[in-house]
Amino acid sequence: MVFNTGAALLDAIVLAVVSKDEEGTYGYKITQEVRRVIELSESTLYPVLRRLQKNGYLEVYDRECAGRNRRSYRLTGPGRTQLGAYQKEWSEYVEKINGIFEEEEWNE
Amino acid sequence: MNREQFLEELAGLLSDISASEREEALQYYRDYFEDANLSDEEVIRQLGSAKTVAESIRAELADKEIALYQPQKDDQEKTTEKEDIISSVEEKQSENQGQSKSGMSTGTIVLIVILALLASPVIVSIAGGLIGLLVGVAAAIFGILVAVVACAVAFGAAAIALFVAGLVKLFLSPVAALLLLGSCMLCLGLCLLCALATVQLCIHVLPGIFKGIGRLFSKLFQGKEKVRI
Repeated sequence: MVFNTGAALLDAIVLAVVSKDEEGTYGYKITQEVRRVIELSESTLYPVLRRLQKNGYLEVYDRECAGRNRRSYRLTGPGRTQLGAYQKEWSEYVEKINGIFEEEEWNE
Repeated sequence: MNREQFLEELAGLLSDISASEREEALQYYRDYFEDANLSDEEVIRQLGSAKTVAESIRAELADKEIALYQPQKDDQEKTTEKEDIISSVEEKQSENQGQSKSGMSTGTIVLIVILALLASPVIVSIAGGLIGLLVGVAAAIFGILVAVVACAVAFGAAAIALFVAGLVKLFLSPVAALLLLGSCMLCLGLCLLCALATVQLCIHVLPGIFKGIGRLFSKLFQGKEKVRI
């Protein structure tokens, strides 16, 4: 993709991916989901998850899975609020950009 | 290389960070291998080297942006209420920018101080030389003025003395008296010339010198003020 993904957008995407699973989801799955929409190296995601965890937007808990404890991530209350703020901001952003693109079409 | 070797290498590379951070990262990548459903080699190929992984973890701990991130210019244009919510990301970015700026300016200040210290002997001696030259020129002009005044006074006194002597000699030796009176006139003329020169010096030359010195000092003073600001 020609457009860069900034830190805030990557945070928003990760929060959105994690929010899809009420039960919480795990590192490998989050990585694969995020990689479906943006290009990023596999090693990039752990620092992002760790930061979101430190900021209090994500919480980690151990879930029993196939005879072992798997570390899972889920959204906290502040994480949900933050995701809402990102989504609002994003839709405003997209609307503005689309507005400009469509204006150009009108002029042509 | 299998996952044990990879995790061992990663643990070694992270030996200097806190144990809890290291364990957190190792747990994550242990789960990552487990959940991937791929061969260890395949997962390691995707992750890149243990070094890359360790660097990304270290970068987050150092509160730096990861290479993938681009600084966002429009972040600064956000309104305050939005800033409250999205503050965490922006704080980090502004902190990073602040650090780099202050680092540069500190370096520049240090360089300027070093330059000033090294150049100070040269600057001080040149400035001292110029001030000395100025004082010397002013003193020379003042000396000339004093000499001219002294000449006027001396010629005046000589004229009076010759005039008195001429009057006394007039009846005893008229020829000598004429010589004395002639010399008196000559001295009087020279006296008047010196007086004229003094007046001219006082009117034209001295104010010019004082104005010049005044301007020089005011320029020096303004220059210093500008540096202070």
